[in-house]
Amino acid sequence: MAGMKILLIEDDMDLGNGIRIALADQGMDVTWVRQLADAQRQLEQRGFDLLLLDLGLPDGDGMELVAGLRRGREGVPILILSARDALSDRLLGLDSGADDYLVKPFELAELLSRVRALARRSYGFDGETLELRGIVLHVPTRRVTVNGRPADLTGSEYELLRILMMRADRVVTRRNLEEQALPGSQANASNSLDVHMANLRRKVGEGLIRTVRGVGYVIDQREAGQ
Amino acid sequence: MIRRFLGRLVAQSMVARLLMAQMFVLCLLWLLALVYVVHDASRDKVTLELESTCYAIIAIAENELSQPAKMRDSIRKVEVALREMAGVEINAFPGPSFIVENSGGILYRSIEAPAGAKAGPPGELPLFESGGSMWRSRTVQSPNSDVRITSIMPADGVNIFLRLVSRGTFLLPLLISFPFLILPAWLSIRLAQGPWAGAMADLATRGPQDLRPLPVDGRPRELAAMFNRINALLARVRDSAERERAFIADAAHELRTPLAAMRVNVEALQRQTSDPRQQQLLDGIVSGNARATRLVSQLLGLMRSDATNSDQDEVICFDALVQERMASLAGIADTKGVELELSGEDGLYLLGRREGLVSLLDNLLDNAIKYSPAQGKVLADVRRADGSIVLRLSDQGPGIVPELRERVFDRFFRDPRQAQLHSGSGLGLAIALAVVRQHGGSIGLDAAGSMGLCVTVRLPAKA
Repeated sequence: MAGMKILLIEDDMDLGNGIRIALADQGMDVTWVRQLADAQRQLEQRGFDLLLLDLGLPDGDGMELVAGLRRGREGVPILILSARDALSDRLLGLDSGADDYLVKPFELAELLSRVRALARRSYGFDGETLELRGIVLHVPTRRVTVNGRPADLTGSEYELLRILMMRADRVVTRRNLEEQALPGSQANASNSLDVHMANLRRKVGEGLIRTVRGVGYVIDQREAGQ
Repeated sequence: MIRRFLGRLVAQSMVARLLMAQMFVLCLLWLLALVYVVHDASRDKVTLELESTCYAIIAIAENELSQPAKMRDSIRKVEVALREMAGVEINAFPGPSFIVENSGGILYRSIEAPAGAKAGPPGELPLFESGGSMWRSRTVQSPNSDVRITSIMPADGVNIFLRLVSRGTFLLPLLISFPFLILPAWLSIRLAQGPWAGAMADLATRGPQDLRPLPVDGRPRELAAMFNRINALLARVRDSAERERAFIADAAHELRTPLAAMRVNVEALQRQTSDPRQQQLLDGIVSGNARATRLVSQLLGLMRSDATNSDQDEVICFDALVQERMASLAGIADTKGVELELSGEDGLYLLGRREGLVSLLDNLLDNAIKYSPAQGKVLADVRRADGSIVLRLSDQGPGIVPELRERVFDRFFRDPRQAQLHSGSGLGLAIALAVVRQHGGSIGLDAAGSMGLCVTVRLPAKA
């Protein structure tokens, strides 16, 4: 994450400065501007790995910038920071091409985790491997190793593991897992999810995947109690 | 007392008021008629009209002057006949009486004639007093002889009474029919009032948040005029409520950026310091900030759930929404060591607003997690029952005593026992209630087993 170039567009002095310092503490290279026009100038001059964008700016709406960038087919990840928390605003932000939407006020940890998640994507996740608590998942080859030993997973099991590892620390609902990892198994989907999950657990170790009964599954970054 | 009774009657019922008004007008007419009769009587026409009677008696006296006993008998009979005509029993009232004289000697004197009655100058109507009453006498002189007759009539109330009895008989039917008039009057008023009942029903079925104009078309003119006024008032109330809501929403919204700034700065500072005492102080700021943040978003949620437009309803899979909200709050539960569990049926659809339902579930789940003891369990169950979707959410927290189970839905009210232990805004359940009502459902609190609280939410399922 260190050295990551971030363009912060936030007109509020206190908030902008706080985010700048907090991100700089993480070793990120933060450029802070307070107007859309300045942001445009910065974007023309140099490349950024990530945009943190406030919506209500003195010289216009941040959405204009998002739309402009997406029209120009710029792939830079955009994280919107906004006080507008209505569902319609969030959907509008995401539909217009932003990658994530964070409602103010937010916890610093939440901001950092979203920034990291976007960074993963922006640094070319396709060529990378996911690594977590001794599990290494190599996406291009779909190969998984548990503590160095290769694990033989079925397609569905691999998908379940990949989704959970991608969204580590967050509970993924049963419905989401069924829809994404077990397509076409509508009939008795719940049972089949349980069966696949039991098999997957046997192969990667019982303690890795935590169940929230009736709700979903989660893989914690750090083992419970550590 | 009668006045108070009448006052209450009139104040309580429009029908009574109309009825009273009708009766009042009738009485007034009756009284006017009475006054006319009384006025008529006071002009002493009675005495004047007795003139021909007087001449008849004079004629009897002149003709039978030779037989005084026969004459007196004849005059007496005329007098009795006269009284009968006037409707007065003999001796019962001092009706007209006569004194017949002949050159100083009295030929006849009615036994009812008051003492002190005597002949006066002809053409005049002298008043005199006798036996505590006023009398008026009139003397008529015979044109052929010196026989003269003096008729005596009561000059006070009795005269008027006599007058009424003889002349006022046409008033009697009115007096008698008076009680019978009330029923048809009441009935007709009730019938004519039909549109009121319809309007009342319209108003009665309205929710407290429903400020839409009342339908005016097809109403009688009088009601339409009133409804137009009410609609104008509703519009003003709506505007002012809308302005107030917009103000609170704006204020809450504007607070978010400074709150975010405070939070980011404190957290950045927290990461830089390792002094435990400073950490403790910074923790205080963070938790205060978290509370203010929560209050602000709850206020916004409340203002949104108060908004009345229901045209944004969409089909929502409720069990999926519960699952999603539980998943997103699982992190908070996990840090508290609280276990979440969901059970029940799949594919429960309803018509509603996602944002409101999200805020309903978040507030209920948040409460359940907050009041749960460490290692406690929060259990959600969603299933269909009698056309409703029923969500039961139980925790193992301290619960709420039965006396407070209604009041905790009031805005800013908090269970005093819990307010000391847990921070909160007192808005969570108020929001939940607002959302549930908006979806036409209900929410209730019960004890969950020996300890803990069970919240039951019923929402109408999609047909």
